[in-house]
Amino acid sequence: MSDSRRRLRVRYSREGRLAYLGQLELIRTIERCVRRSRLPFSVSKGFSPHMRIAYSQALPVGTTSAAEYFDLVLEGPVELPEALASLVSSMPGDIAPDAVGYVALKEPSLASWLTRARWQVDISSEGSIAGLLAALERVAAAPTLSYERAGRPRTISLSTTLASSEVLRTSELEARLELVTRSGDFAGLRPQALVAAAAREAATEVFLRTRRCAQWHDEAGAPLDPLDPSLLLAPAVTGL
Amino acid sequence: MRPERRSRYEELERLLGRVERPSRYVDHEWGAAHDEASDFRVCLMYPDTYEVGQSNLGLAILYSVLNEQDGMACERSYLPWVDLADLMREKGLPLLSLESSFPVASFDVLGFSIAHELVGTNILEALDLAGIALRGDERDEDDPIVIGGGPSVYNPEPLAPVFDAILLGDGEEAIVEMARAVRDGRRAGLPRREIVSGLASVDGVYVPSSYRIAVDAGTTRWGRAVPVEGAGAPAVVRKRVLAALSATPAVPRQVVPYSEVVFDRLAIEVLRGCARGCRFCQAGMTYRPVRERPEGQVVSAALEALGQTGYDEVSLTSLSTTDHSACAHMLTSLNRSLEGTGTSVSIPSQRLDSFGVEMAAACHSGGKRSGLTFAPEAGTQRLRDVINKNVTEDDLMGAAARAFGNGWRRMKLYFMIGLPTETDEDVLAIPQLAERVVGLGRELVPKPQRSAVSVSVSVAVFVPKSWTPFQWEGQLPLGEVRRRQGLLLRACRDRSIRVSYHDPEASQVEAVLSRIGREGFGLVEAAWRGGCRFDAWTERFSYPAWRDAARSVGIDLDEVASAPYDRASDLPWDHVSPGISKGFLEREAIRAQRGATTPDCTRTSCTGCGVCQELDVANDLAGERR
Ligand code: SF4
Repeated sequence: MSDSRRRLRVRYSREGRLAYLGQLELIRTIERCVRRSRLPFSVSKGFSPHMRIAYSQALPVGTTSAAEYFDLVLEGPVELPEALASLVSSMPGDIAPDAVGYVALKEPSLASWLTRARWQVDISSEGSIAGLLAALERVAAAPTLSYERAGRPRTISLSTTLASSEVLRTSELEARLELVTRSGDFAGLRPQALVAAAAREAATEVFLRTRRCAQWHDEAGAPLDPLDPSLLLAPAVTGL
Repeated sequence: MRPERRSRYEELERLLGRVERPSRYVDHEWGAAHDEASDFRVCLMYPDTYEVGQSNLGLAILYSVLNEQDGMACERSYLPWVDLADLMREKGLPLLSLESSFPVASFDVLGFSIAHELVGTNILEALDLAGIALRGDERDEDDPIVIGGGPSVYNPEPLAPVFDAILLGDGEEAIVEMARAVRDGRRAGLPRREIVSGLASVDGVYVPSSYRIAVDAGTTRWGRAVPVEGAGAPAVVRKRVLAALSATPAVPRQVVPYSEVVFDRLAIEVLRGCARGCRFCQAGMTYRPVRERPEGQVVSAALEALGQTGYDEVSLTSLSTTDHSACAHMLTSLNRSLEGTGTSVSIPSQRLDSFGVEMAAACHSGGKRSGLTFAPEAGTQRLRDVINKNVTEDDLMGAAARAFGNGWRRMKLYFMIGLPTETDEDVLAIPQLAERVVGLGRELVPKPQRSAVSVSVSVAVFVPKSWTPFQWEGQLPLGEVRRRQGLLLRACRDRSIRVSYHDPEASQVEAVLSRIGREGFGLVEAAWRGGCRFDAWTERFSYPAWRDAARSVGIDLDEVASAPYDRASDLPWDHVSPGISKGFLEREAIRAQRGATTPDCTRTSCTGCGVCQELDVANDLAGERR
């Protein structure tokens, strides 16, 4: 194995219309961006060679994010400011890398390591927001959440997945919620599913704008950021 | 009244959470052209989903060319899938363009790609969603000028009432001339009628409203189109043709999609036209002469565009890529340049001989051997001679042996049933041929992998097309198609052979729309009003709905599809010419009856199809063909 390889960790935001990409579409898009960036990305050997790249957990379709991540293996080191600049210039505007750092090649994969996420949900409701919030409180207090997705019944354990839920502000027809969720080797909670269940209970139609604000690893109650200096081989470089 | 040019994206976005694959509708792809300032605007529409339309190379070329013009903006639009279309109607949101989200009805020109015969209901659906009258003669002064072009324009009559103008042939120059003519006409304040009839002065453009239909003893029941007196339209419109491909960019402006599209890779058109002369094939007649792109241009454009787009695959596309005189060399140099980048090269279809397999192997060096496709089209040599498919059983067996030897295990064979002169013996020869291929595989493939050897046989129904030697033929009646399908299926006992069919009912509707005249518009309209859309999607096609539509306008689908035309009659499409002489088609029809084959003029000498003389062009090859 060549020792010159590096694992570049990239944080990026995802905005606007690109919230509507599914995970496979996002992956295809980022890989094409990496190819366009001309960074010396590493390709696996074998019958169907593919780019060595790994992503944080899929973002539900329709959700924006301030903090998504991918890890890209490079064949050799590239100066961090240069790596960030070439990624920025090859991405469509609504996918915006804003921080990069090198982590050890053997770090665990992002998708399993990131176990907490904070979400912000802006709700506008056709009916009374107070009724909706009351329903939400009941739904969130239950141990499980059951709903149908693509015609199949699903049950999510809320006591496992929902760490906290708080109403930040409300007006007559609108409200902003903040949720913190846990993830791991169990079915994850989509904020949309929680609010949709409340809307069903309150018999109202809602339009949501959901944003993932942060993701981190939880080390026995202590949060650890994916670009925490303790994980990095050199200080991270941030844009903006 | 022309709607206001303002973005309606916010209204659209509210619906996106409720539909399948919302990424189809969001635009903002890498390479999309954003020009909200130009006041002359063209919207190009592929009347199917984003995934199908975004894959279309022809529209990509026109998009590129138009956006290079000063003061002109060109945008894309696709037909929303039924879920979104229904929601848009419910909310009163009209059809929008992709880039600016302006209403399509606010554009100056709306251009449709006429990709195949079954696309008519989608064109009507698009116009209706846009709020534009379906018929040209019902449109308002400031409605967009509605134009069409693409592969399926050589019997334009069933859609003639829809289009203000239809372009025959190559579009890269003509589209600009058409757009300029509309722009100048609008600036000069000309009435719509005059702008439309003026388009006939652009070489290759057919203006349906300048023709009336005359039915008499010298025509079929659908009549012939004759210029309206004083309209200044020619009796016959000849297609537009580019003399050489080398003068055009090898790669148009690239829009790199987010969602997985049908053709999700970089495409480079390496040649246009095919002169093999298969007698059932419309493209083989209408895209002549053959024009090859020089190898150097292909290779350098491929490398540059791969770097710009980030695609990991490049496809060398055309009607018959393996016929390119520099095919082997081109593949070698591309492969060499792309080594170690995880980028692959592909060619869409292979020639049915061992050279074809060699080229396929060159595309997959080191990669996996998923399956190889060949199109013998007919089971017996006799019938292959009738259709002028110039391949022998030895060619097929040689290709199969080469493929099995090169690591392929699965083979896909395309056939047609209902070809002129077909007998039961020809039908039964299809499974026999497949069995011989499987047998050969079992002989050549090492024992442990022998069970992986399989052949899938895909059987389409022959559809007679305009401007081919078989244009006078009727289609085999449905009942007889089904009997022959049953015959084939029962004769096929080997478990390693899988047979699949095209829907014969959809093929019948396709035949009707290929053969009928202007009256066919009533049928298309009735079908659309009856709920037909996305007819090319097997799961959406409804034969009962088409039957009902046909009944309501007094048309008998069985009869129209299967009645042959008299060779002495004027045909409904004689006035829109790809340059081929009718005499050549007749000679070919007679040779077909005798089973006499006609060689490929790019490998021998001219066989007299007439295109080169009629359009003052010539085959333009980059080298000697092998
Ligand atoms: S006119 Fe002759 S050389 Fe030209 S395309 Fe036809 S057959 Fe070939």
